[in-house]
Amino acid sequence: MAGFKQIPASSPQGRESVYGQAMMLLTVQPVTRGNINLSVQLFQSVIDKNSSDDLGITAKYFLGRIEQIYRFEPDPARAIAIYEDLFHNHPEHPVAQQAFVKLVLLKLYDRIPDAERAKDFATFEVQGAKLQDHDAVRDFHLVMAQACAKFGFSEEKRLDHLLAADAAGVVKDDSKANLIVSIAEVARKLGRKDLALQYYRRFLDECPRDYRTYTVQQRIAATEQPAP
Amino acid sequence: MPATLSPRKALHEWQLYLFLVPSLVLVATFMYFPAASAIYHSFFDWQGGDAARFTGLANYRRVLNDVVLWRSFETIGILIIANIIKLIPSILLAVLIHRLGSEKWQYWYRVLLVLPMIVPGLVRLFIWKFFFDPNFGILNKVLDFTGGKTLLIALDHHFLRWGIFHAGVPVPWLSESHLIVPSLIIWGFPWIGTVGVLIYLAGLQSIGTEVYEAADLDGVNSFQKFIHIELPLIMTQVRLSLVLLIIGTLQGFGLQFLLLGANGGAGGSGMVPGLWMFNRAFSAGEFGYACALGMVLFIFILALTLLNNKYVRVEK
Amino acid sequence: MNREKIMNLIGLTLLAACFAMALTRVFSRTATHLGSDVVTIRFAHYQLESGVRGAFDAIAREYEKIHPGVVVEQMSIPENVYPTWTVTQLAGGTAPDLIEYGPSTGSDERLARYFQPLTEWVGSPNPYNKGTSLEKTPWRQTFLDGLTGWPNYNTNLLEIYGMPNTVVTIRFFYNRDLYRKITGNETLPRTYQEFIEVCRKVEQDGERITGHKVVPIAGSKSNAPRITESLFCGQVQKLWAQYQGDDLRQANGNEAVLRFAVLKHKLSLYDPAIQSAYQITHDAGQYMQPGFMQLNREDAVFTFTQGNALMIATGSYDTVSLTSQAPFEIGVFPVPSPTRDDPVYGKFVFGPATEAGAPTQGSFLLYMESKHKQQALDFLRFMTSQKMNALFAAKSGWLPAVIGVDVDEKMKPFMPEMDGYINGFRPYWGADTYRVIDNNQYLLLGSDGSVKKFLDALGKDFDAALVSDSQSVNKTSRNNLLRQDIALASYMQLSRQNAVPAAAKKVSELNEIETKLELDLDDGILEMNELGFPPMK
Repeated sequence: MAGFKQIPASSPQGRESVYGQAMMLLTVQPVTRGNINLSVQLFQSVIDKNSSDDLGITAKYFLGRIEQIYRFEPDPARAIAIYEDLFHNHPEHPVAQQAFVKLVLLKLYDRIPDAERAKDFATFEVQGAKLQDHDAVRDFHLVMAQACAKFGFSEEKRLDHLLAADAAGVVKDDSKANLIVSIAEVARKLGRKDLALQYYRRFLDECPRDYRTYTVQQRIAATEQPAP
Repeated sequence: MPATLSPRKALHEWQLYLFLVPSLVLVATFMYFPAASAIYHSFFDWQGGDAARFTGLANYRRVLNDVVLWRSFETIGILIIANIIKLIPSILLAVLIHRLGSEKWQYWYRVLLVLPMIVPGLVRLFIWKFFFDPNFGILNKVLDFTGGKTLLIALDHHFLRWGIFHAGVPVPWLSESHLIVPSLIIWGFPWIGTVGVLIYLAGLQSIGTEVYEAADLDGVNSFQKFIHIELPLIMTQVRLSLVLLIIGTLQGFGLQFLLLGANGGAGGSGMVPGLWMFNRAFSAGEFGYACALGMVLFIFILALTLLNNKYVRVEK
Repeated sequence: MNREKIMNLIGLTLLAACFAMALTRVFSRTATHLGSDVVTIRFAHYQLESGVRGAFDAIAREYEKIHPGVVVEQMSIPENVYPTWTVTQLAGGTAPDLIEYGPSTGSDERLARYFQPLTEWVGSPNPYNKGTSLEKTPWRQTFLDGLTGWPNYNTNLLEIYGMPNTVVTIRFFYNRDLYRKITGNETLPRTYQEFIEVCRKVEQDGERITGHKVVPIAGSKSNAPRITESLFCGQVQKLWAQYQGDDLRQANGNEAVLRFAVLKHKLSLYDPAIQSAYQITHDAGQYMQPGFMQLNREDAVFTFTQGNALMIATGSYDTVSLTSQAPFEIGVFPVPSPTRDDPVYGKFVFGPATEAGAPTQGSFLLYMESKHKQQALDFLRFMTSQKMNALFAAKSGWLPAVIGVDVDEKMKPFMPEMDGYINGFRPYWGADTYRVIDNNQYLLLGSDGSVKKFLDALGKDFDAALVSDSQSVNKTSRNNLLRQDIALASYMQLSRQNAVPAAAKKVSELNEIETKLELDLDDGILEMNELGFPPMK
């Protein structure tokens, strides 16, 4: 913190230093309401100078994060508003696209009637198709796939989103293992045997030490059997 | 009344006060700092590391609705009463030793009392845990040998109706809910605390022989001597023991932890406030809440100590 | 000089001499580490079992042979002080380079604060496996469990922290002589019913044959769950699969689904599968010595080694100590869970459980502030190479954690059985549900116990505990998310400035981790809101 404060606000790195201070205030222990409010002010001052450059967009993203997870009493509605505004104004920026993913998550997991949730889901599918940033594409599809499982949306859509996440490329090994076996399972339930077998075998190949291995072998054997 | 010292005189040899500094630093570091830290952290959502969230009085509001805590005070109430009764054997033994005619025998009894102190407290706890062992423990063997078990079975059948004493089945002292509090009370039998006896003896030895001679002349019997002479004259020591006992019992949880584990044993019957504090800190990771529990416990102890000081008077 | 002054002088001299000796010892140790040419790697553990220290020592000497200028120092700390010692060392900044994963190291915050995630290195082959069948295998995949679970992989932080040396499986150790005498043969039980039959025989004929009371199973607070939890989990295999949507998508299953199903009263503890699970637990408990719930592991071992119990269930790590303590020959067999054909308990099971998830343990964590981090990491690679793990297994008598290591004949029965079904859930889902179950277990496992008494007693306390545990889970998810967010912010800046080459990859990783954490968190918050409870404490 002291390092950031040494850089004068008027210097070329001043704005970054203010951004750094704003982030640090969120981590300084103990966490207090005062520090969070001060962080908001500092982020706002970064945005006020220039809301369209990388720093301004990221600062706005973190304003949304503050409302979403940092506040002692989170304000998801305010976070959604910030993310919506960010994505609307900068739809091509990776950070704004990541904000879109957070927005999707917050809205789908809000306490709303099922019909409204289904409507939001359909809207997000259209909007999500325009995402370009690799991380945003991957995370968007992971969220949508999970929402399908949670809220009982179509299994076909779930499969589509899982395949899209796989195409985008998952980084963590264990997430990859879960993704591969999920695709196989959903494909099996939808009767898409070839796809299921492809992914089951890929699971055995890429995750040989996973403890689901035996069950997957059983699945392969069952799936390979001709229908009665 | 001691003569007051003028500030000038008091500070004349100011260098001597520097000798106090090491002790003060140690007391401040190892006693006051942890207490201050506990008060500070009781206002936080704190998991024991660096991260903490200021939550104000949230922990204290939670304490008010903590069912397990208030239930544990019931247990501790029973244990305090039992421990007060357990003071009696020490007092009686001190009186008996004091009344021995031979100083040599008094000395030997004091030595015999002190010798067991070389056994660390933890070892004694483990030995008692073994006593309570249902299959190999001495308690069950004594009950079987003396016929006490038959009495317990009859008591259970006709009166208690707990259904836990059966012929041919060892008594599970620490794994049966109804038996946990009795086990905690039985622990330490015959409840003769060496330090207590020595403290009472020191008090009794300050009673002059002329008091006894006067009592003999008035035809006072042994029991009356105890009630009217010895007991009143050691009340300062008894009061001190009482204060220490109340504080120790309220704070203490080592016995319960070792015998029953962090969850308080079968039915949670052995849960006491100190153990609940430990449970919240180390089992649930709620260190901030545990600090708040500690503060509440502190207030209880303070209140009881003040009551004790006010009502347990020493007639000089 | 008078006598008193002489005595005082002697006392003072003795005190000064002791203090000087202590100072010399401390400073000479420190001086060794200050030698500029010598790199000292220290590793600390609490495995004081026979053979283990010797095994670690042998590995350390082998490393020193190929790395002159490096000294490897072992620190063996007694288990009961290990938690306090570790915390003190970590907080004081004096921790050794490698620390064994133990009771005090495992919290998310402690791991994230003090230990280096090893994930970035586990994807590459271990250079010390050159010339072996594992030469090209990524380091992670050289372990029996692929480092997919506790304690090596943290599912909240989504990072690998520990590198293991052994795998632990649970077996029944039995007294061969006694078994022969009581059953009249050496045929081991293969099914659950055969196992119960053996237990009944011990109860009926044990005292008559041996002349003293013999119990079938030596139980204790720590040994009993080895059997009872295994049997419980077996009974809820189908129920677990049902609540996972018959879907393998999450490696360790999603127990949140169960918690909320219970809170919403969609799943009752009186569910036939759960009742069956508790019933089998009760049945197993009747074959342990009375009052076993108040006993420690040492009491159970004592009962077994004194010949007062036929069997004891414990981990493979106890092989050497049991064999050395028992005056009789010991045999081993797996805990026989009911199969589908079992007439009483077969209804709810798929089949025998896989041990592929048996966690690899004896894991070492890399201290983040280590002065010789790269060297310590190198030693970790060396220690967990196939050759060194074979040395470890041979000297310690423990099972190896690395694949392809030959195992001694007598240890072969302990090797994990990989083929098998995914086991069901454990009966508790957090600190508070564990406490409530623990408090009421005497109503299930006592001589007068029954499933009905136990379940009736759980009552409202269990629901309240479940709420509390759910709130704790949400809070943990939130805290982990906050931690990741700060790291993400930093890496985003570094990536933008191209300051660190790997920053962009790290940003991608962290975004992925955050998505997973947020899905869990938002799911938990939604469920709690719908139930009308505050999402967090």
